[in-house]
Amino acid sequence: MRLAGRLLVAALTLAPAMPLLSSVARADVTPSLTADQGLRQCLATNHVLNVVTLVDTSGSLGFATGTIPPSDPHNARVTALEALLHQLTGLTKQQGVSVNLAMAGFDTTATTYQTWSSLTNTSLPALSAVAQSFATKNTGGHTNFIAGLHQAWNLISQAEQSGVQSCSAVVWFTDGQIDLGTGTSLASQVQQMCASTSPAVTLARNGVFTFAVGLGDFGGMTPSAARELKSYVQGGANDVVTNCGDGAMSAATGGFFRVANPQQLLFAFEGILNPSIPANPPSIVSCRMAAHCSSAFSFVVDTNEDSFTLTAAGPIGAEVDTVFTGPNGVGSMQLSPTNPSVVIGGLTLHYESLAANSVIVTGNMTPHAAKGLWKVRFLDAQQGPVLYWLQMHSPFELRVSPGTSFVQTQNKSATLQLVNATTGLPVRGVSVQGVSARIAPAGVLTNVGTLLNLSPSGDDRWAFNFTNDFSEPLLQLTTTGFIMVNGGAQQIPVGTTTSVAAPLPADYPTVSLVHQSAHSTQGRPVTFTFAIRATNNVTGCIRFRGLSVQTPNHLKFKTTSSLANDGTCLTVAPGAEQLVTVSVKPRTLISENATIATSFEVRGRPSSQWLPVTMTNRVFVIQPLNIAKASGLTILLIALGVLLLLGVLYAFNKRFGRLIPEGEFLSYFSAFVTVTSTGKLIDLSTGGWDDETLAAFKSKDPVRSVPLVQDRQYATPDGSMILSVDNRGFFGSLRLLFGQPSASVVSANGFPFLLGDKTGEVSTSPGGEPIALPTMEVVGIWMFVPDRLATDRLMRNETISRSELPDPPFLQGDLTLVLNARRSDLALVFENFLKAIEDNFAISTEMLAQDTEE
Amino acid sequence: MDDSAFDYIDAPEVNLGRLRLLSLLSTVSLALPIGGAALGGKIWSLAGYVVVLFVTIPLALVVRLTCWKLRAETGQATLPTFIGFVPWLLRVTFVFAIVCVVRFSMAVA
Repeated sequence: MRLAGRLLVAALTLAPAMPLLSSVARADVTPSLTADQGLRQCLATNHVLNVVTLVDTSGSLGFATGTIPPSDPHNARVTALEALLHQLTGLTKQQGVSVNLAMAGFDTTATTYQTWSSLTNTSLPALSAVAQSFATKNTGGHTNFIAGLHQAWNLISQAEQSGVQSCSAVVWFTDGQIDLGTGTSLASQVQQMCASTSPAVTLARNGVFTFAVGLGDFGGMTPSAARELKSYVQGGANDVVTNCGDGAMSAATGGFFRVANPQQLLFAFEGILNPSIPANPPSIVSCRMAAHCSSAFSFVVDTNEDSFTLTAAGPIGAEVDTVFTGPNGVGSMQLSPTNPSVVIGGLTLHYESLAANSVIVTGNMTPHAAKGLWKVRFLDAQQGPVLYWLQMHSPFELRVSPGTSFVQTQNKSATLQLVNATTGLPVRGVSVQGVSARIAPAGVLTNVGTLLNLSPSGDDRWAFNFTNDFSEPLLQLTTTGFIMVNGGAQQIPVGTTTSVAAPLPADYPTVSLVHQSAHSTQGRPVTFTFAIRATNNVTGCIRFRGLSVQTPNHLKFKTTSSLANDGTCLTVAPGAEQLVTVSVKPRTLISENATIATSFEVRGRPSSQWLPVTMTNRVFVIQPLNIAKASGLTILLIALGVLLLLGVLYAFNKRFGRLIPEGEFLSYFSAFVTVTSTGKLIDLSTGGWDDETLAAFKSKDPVRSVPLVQDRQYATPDGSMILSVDNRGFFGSLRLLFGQPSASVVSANGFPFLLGDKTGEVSTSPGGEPIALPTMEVVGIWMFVPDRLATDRLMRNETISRSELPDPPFLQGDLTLVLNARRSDLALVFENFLKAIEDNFAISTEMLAQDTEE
Repeated sequence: MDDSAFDYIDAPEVNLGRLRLLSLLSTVSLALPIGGAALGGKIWSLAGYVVVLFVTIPLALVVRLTCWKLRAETGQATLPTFIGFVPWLLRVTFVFAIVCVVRFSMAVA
């Protein structure tokens, strides 16, 4: 009856993959689920199972009634009960599901034989003893379903008063029709059983899963009785009512198993929660002796297998032994209650007898040693048919890649691969058939959810894309597939169910700079104010992780923050903005444009992860001005500049500050002339006009000046006059910038003289001081140095009429004309001279007189 | 007058094209001092100052002195277009030079 236990065992196996469902899972079971599926879903959530085994103790089980044989003369129900206890105990330990068990029996009335007890290894022997006691509890007069179910409900309601979220189930063994013993008609009793006040309805409406096992044909469970029993747990019609329970019961609340043969009870329970177990398992005929027994089945062990489970139920009333015959002459070994553990040919076999006619054999393989064809024969004194089921196990599982998670609302690509279940390492080169995968929220069974579209990627992997539109934090990925052994005769499932995290999209508080007290600082603190806001109503927190200078890294700051840099977490609640201020004060006296990185860590969803956030801001750090240094430097630089400028000016003055045209290009004409007060030249020796001087000038070759200082100072050819630029000397160069450079003319002997230019301007130098020219242009000037006054009257000359004869005094002196090389303006300059003397005759004579006196 | 009797050498004439080019260069070179004065960084202001000293002012002086020569030889009272701007440019240049120096000193100090 170990398979009976697997009914719940399989449910518990799935439990860890479905940790979260609604808090009242029974009420939220998807209506489309069957009762066994619903129970699995419930267990995935609550991890606490309350099981009431309700056993028919009426006399029809063990004694013939008239011509009707007993339905369970060999107490298969006891075997089933014991198997159930063993399985639940083992899975309680393995899967962490807490199982509470109570046992009740019913015939005319209902009796609790075992109150609630936690099923553990410690309590198992006592509970098994109670289960075995049912072997003799088969003498009741009636079959009071109502009393039995009512008793079951009382026990369950008692268990649920603890307030612990749990799942509850009733496993109900019976063999016949209702017989309340009230003398009323069967129809009336059936109606009573299907009424809304029936405990069957109560159980269903309170989410208790009820599994009814109708014990076979031997006991005379007629088709009519079977329909009635089914309707009590699944609703629907029977021979009396059209809808038993008025819809309270359905396939979602109860399961019904009609077991034609008590042997099948094992497999019936197994099949409830493990669809791979066939409802009608194969059978072979057992032998009395191993020798010459031709009835056997075989299986192949290869390297892709690591264990198997063989479950068998033989004819009633006889011990079933098992004989394994290995390949390659390893021989045979018989397993029996007296020889329960053997090692043969790489197989470690363990025999466990659940009842006299039921056995479960587990085998662990050393793949290479046990490889080959194995035969199994059953030995039984009855030599009847033995139902068996061999389940090969592989060490491989088809799993999604480790670490895969599917963030809600987002699409993700992932892969399936065959891995070693123990090591988790990928397995390559093993052909997997019938691969499919379905993903669903944890707690929802494998026939719902999304069927994934798998694409073989060619490297023993299957790729798929999945958009997680589920709203559960955990998904279960159920894979199916099998590897073929023994030429395809054996299929070994490698599918599994794994949990895959389905976190909500990450949601962290946001950090933003809302204020910066200053963008530049001269040693004063700059305060940054950051606002932290929760997003999407996700409460988060923030902690300060320091401040660093990104560029330039040699800058140092003193940092203060309103949030200590010690891991303190500031909670950021939705709708409540938090402000964090961070102040920096430069400690380095330098002017730099600093980039400052303020580091935070925020946590939101997921709450287990910190997200670093770096806020980068710029501060222009200004070194406080050193006025003395700045002033000194300014003065120094300006002084250097002035010096440099003076040098430049000097150089330019040397290059450009010269007479225009240059001295080499000047022409000089000199003559001692006598001038009348009317501005005419006369010749005292002839008493006539002096036209010869001008004619001489015109015909005379010009004479060049004598350079005294190259390019800067020249003497007239006779050495009487000196022409020079005024901006000579170092500081004279400043005249290039301030004012205008000029030239000057001076008498070499310090005599007074007159000077005129082409424009008619006349300058006098009574004391012999230099006369400055407005420009450096000296061409076109004339210079006259008065020498003496001639006071005698002119001698008579016929060329001058008496009326035109000039009167003395006549001014005599040295005239020098300065002309350009072409002498193009000779006549003009000469005329200017005469005109100037006429206009300045008196002045000239006074100058001469004064000079003579001195 | 017999010109052949006098082996004179005429003064070279002023090249107006070159004078305009120098004026243009002098004006353009003022861009860096202006930038240095405006930006105020160490590099820019120092560069502006150096350019003033070594480029702008010398070029402007060359132009100015050449203008005197031109005016003296040709007697024209008004300088050619654009070249006449140079004397004003020279005055402005000093302002930018001083600003550059001050800003450089402040940046360094």
